[in-house]
Amino acid sequence: MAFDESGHDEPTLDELQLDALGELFNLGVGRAANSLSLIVKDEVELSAPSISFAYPSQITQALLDSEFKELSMVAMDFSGPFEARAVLLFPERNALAILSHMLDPNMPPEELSEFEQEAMCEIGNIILNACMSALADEFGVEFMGSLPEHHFSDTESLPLFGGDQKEVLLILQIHLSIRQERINGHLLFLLSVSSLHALLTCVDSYLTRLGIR
Amino acid sequence: MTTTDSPLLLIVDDSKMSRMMISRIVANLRPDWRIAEAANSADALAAIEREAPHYVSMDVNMPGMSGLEAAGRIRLHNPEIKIALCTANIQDAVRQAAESAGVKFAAKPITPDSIARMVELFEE
Repeated sequence: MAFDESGHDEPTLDELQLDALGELFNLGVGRAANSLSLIVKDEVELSAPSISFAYPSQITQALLDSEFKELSMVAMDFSGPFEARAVLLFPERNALAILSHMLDPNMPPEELSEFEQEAMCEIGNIILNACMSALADEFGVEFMGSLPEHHFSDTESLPLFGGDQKEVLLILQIHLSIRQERINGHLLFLLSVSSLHALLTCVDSYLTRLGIR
Repeated sequence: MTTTDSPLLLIVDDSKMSRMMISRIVANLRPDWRIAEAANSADALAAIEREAPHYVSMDVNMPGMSGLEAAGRIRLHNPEIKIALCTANIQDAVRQAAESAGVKFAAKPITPDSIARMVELFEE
């Protein structure tokens, strides 16, 4: 895990906890791919590789290549056994590429961008809810989700991450392909340290219930 | 009691947790089956060269070669092996591609019911 700043309590997850979380998010992302494919009426490949952690102040280095300055992001707040701000984030031009598949591949970019906020909210709603509902179903708990909010931003000023050093970001890079076009985005879950502990308690009871630990 | 004549199931999944869950449920349902595991597609193909299993439970989303591609390769060289793709992503397009290649689907999450269904598919 990428924790190199001094003074932080490093969250330590063992191999099985990371494995379980990765599988649960993959389950959610798989469900989301299924829903998105119904919208774009074509095959959608959506995969979530491994989980990493970072602090909000490290987000720029942790996440983004310098080539991606402009970002399109959707945030939802979830509350339940733990609270998390879930954020789906795409480089701006990738977001427009997804929309073009959802709406009309022949639509010029300036017209597309009119729909961007609405359509990104819908995509965010599908992907973020699918991930949280996979966790909820498997943990046997319930989360309440806020309405999705769309933000434009750049890597220099990510207003959603206020730099509160007591919060931790759980990061999943996601690869999305529609009609041979490959789009990379990120799923971020901003958790307070106490919420992270509550999440790990859920993971541990889940593993215990399955008889794995 | 398993013998070398017992049906062999190869579980391919990058998640150790998933392999453990599938293995445990199958061992309960079919105590006579032998169970082997692979953590990725390349290891699975190598294992199949050493001993061809009767059945393969194949995860789709794995680092490296996807389960869908691995399933296609297995069907090409070992058409007698019965394969079930284990995934939460059951899109019509994926399902059609898989079914035309003679591959079955088992829905994730892994539960006793979904694995029982997979065992039924193998024994059809």
